[in-house]
Amino acid sequence: MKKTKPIFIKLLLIILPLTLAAEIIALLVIYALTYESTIDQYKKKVQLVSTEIASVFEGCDPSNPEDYSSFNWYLNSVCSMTDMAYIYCIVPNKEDNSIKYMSIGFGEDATTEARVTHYPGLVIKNAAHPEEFDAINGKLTDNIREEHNKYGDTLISYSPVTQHYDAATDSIVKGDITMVVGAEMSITEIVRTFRRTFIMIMVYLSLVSTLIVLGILAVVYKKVSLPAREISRRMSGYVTNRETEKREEKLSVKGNDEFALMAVSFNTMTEEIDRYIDHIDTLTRDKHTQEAELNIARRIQMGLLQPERKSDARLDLHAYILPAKDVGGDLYDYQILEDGRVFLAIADVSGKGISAALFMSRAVTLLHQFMLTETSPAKILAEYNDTLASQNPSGLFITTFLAVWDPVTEKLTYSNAGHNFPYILSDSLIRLQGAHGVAAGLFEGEEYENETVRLKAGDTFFLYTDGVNEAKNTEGKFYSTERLEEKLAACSKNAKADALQIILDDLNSFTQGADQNDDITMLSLNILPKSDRITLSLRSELSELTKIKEAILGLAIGGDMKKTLYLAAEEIFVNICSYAYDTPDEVEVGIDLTDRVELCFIDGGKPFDPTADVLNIDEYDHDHRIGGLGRFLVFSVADEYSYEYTDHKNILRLYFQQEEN
Amino acid sequence: MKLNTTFDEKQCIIAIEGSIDALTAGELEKAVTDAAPQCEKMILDMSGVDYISSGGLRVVVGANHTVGKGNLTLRGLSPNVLEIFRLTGFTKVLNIE
Repeated sequence: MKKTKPIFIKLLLIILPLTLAAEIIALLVIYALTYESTIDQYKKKVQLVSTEIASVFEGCDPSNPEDYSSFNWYLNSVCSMTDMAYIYCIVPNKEDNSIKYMSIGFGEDATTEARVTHYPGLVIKNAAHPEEFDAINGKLTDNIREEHNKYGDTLISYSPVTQHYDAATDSIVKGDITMVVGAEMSITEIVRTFRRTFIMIMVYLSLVSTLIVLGILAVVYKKVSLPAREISRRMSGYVTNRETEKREEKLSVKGNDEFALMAVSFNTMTEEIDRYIDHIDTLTRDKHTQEAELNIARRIQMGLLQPERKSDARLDLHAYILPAKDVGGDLYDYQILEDGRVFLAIADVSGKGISAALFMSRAVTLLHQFMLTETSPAKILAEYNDTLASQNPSGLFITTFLAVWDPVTEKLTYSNAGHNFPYILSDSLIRLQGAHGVAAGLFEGEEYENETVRLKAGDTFFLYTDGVNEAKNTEGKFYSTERLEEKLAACSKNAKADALQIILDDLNSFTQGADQNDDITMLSLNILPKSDRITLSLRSELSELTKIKEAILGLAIGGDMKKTLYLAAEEIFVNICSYAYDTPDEVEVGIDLTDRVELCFIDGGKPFDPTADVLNIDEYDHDHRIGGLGRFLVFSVADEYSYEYTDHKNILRLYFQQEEN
Repeated sequence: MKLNTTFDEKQCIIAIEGSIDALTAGELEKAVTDAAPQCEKMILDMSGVDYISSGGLRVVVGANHTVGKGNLTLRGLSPNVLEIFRLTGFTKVLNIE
């Protein structure tokens, strides 16, 4: 921040010079005026002296200089009495501007030099002054001159000698003025004293006025600058300081000026801000607690759902769920049963938040349980609806779509409780149809219908909730069923397996991060094309049988066929475990599913042809012999088989024809 | 596989549920051996069995020896389990209800 320049400094810089300038101007005026009046009395004095002495010389005869010079002593004494420096009688000559001294007296202030160089009869050229001629010309008064030179300050007054004595006629002659009496008075001391006094006054006045200005500014500093700084200090970083520092006392309110008003306003403001921030703090804390709890609730809820990805040899399941709030009311579920059938469900609870989430939790648990005990989607929905409706104090309901796919018949059986019909992406896009059903949870005793459609290898089954088509972008437009169908139709041409991801990407590019109003849930079942080969790399240990069992159960074939395959596989694998190696070693089991099933066993153990010497059951001693039954069973149930010993490996192949459906 | 052995005077009934294969046959064998000394006649209730392999057959045939010929009865065989017994010819030597 720029360094603050206090306002009183600014004021000082303006007011002080202005005050001083005004003072100087005023003093100069006063000086001029008082100087005149002070000097005036001395002027009167010199004029009085020159006038009086001029009348003294009226009795002298100009033709007799002795008459004049005889007055020298008198003039000396007048000088002493009247404090004059010089009194003289002169004859100014206009022709050569010279003066001629007729008589001269010296006072105390006269210089020694002047006493020596001036005497009656002395003529000094170019020494006449205009005032002297004024006097000759009959001007009686005010022929006064001030002289300021190296001798000091001098006042000089000239008076004409207006008449003189004429010895020839023994009479007084008037007019014809030729002589002037000058009286000079030194005022050096007076002027000096006057000036010194004046300067003293000026200095004192300046000091006093400066002090007054400074005093005023000190008041300004205390009353304006300090409160302003204090308020400013409190204001800057008020909100951040209050976090780290102890809350400061309130600003003190003194007096009733604008700053007091500002302090009151500031105190009121800080109180309001404090209250407001405290309020926000409380809200934030509450919100954090609530968020943490909702996070836990969400994790619990998401834990109830199946993983988002599930794949096996013949299908690929992909689920996506994004709750609008921390906990959602949408759910999906799936279940791959032992016999290979696949249950799929998607549902949407009316409402959002905690109550919807709890209802959803109940619903998903029920669905999951019913999938294990009942095969008909319609019956499951009926039972699910009854259970939910029997205990539903909040009157929530849940739209639910339930389907089961049978890999043997490739038939999808489904039933709907008020949910959006899903799609099958096959050669073209098919929207499922049928009875819409009533949403579950409202009325006990509702009945639902089953519908059946073919879902063959290579097809994709796509389920969704209305959070998808009703997703809004920033302009408030819906994503819409039309856009969903358009995209899905495009996917059905060449990207069925990626439909869910493509829709999700398109949805995100549409909404551009706009607020999500509803949970978004999608579920897709992609049936993989047939003839997939499964290869299991196993150890020759009995415990590995479970892996073979799982692989066979996962095949898209009928239950009886699976039992037959597993019987053959178990018998051969047990034989290999028992005889091929001395210590457990590698065994490779291959399962190839085309129009028939091929089981292939490869081991690097002792050469042994299991197809040779298969027992003849008719000659078998059922009471005593119990060996060789396994191999007998294998070759009884296999349609074809082959054995070879190549590259130090036993290779056994068994073939089974698929049953006609 | 689940096993449940009950005694009814001198007759014991072992109810079997699940698959009898190389992995589970041992459990059945032990149940048979444990029960045999206390019963004259043994009934294997196989209504819950959905699968049997040669390993299971051996245990059943062994049980027949243990309790004495004619004292073992198999009950409730499902069609595909019965098929295994038929294929291997044991239908001829075992009491099957």
